[in-house]
Amino acid sequence: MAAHCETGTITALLNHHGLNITEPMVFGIAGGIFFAYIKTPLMDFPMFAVRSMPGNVRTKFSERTGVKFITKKYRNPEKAEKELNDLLDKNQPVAVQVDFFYMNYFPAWYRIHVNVHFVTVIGREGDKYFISDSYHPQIAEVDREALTKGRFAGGDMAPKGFMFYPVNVPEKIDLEKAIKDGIKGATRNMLKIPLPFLGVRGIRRFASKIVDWPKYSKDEDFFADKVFKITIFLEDQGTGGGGFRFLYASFLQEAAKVLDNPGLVEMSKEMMKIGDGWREVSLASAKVAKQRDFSKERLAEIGDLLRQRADEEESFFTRLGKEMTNHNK
Amino acid sequence: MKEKDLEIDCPHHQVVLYAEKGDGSYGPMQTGSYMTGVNISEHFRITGNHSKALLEQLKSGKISPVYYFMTIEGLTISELTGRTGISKFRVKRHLTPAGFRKMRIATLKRYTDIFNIPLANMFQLINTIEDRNWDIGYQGEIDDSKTGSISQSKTDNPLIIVTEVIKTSK
Repeated sequence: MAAHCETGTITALLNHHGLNITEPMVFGIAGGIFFAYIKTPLMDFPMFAVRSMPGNVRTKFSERTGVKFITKKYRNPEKAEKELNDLLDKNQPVAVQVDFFYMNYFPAWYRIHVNVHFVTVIGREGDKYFISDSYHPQIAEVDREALTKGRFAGGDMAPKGFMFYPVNVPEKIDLEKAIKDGIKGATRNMLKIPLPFLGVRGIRRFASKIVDWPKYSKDEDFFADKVFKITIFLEDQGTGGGGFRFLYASFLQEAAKVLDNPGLVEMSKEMMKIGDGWREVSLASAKVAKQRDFSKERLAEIGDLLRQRADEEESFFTRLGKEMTNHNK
Repeated sequence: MKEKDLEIDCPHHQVVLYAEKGDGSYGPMQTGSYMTGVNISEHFRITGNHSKALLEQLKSGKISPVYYFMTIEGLTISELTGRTGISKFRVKRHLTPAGFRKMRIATLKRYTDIFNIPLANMFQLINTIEDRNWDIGYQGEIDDSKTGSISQSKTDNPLIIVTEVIKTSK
């Protein structure tokens, strides 16, 4: 198991290729920590994200470490299946993008239609495929039909049979440079994007807009479900807890050792505390949803907690950026 | 967060969280999901009520089976459009009972492929062993010893399924 599907599959594939690297390190080098609050006129309800775009972890990690991945998309499911089978027959595990709904080794209540789930296919036997899924405790089995449906589901961010696997893992990776680039990328994403719904600005927007959420709701059950989802997105949907902040704290602790920078040890402790703060947001949201008290005051309380996270992260990433600049000197 | 503060007893939904270990290092731990452990009954209550209400509307002919399955599988009209390749205008029409009745079989098949159900189940309410794997409200083993179970299996013909009662040996 791993905390997150994309970082989990990349870590598993790299470990298979002999590169001893941890999931937090993959996440940190890729600068995966992020925040976005999105509401467009086409959306029924606002949404938020606590990590970078799906696929970004792989591309940024590859850029910063020199690990080369082969990536492929297909129009033809038969061709996609044949090429996957050929690779598996050569003992090459392959990561594929699927609609989570068709991964029927999970119970029904747990499955939702999400097109950006990544799993590693590690082998096959007849029509059965063996899957290593970051969210499943054991190696799972899925039949050919379900895997094909999952790989070729349509809709938003359709997988189109997308698959990837590493082909070139350099013997010596300049981990120091990769870590520094990853941290710089993260600070840039959190502080410097001049759009009001991304990074720290996005957290503030979320804080001020949450009181307006009832106007998008059809009924009380629907709204309770949406408020519960704040907790699910922060804790349960493969974040490692605290909206990826605990995972990032682990990365900073590891980075401190690699860079021999005691300042980063302190910053990792601080990030852990920020993660605790995000967990407060989760618990407050679950409480509001359970008690069904959707008054403006209660929603504003969640907004206040979010504002505190924004202030903390603004100060944190500013100092983290400076720490890296000073480290270079 | 310390490891012990994150431990939740919830064997049917495990997650990996990162936490502070006893020696001060941070690392992964496998534990139960807080949300599932604490709120699963609430989740089942909400989704169960919702499905029941939809089923009543379906039985009284107020909504079409396409609307029913779209809603219980958490899809929106635009997602259904993208997944089936059927235009938004036509999907909206198929969501009404009148529009549903005019649909061609080939179009209906495109919906059932997405919903992952046999085509026949667009016209009948049937609860099979296989459905339990997909049923949102299904929570565990059910004792079939008295009633037996209904099972559906595929044939080589994509439009035909076999529905049969399985007798249990208990």
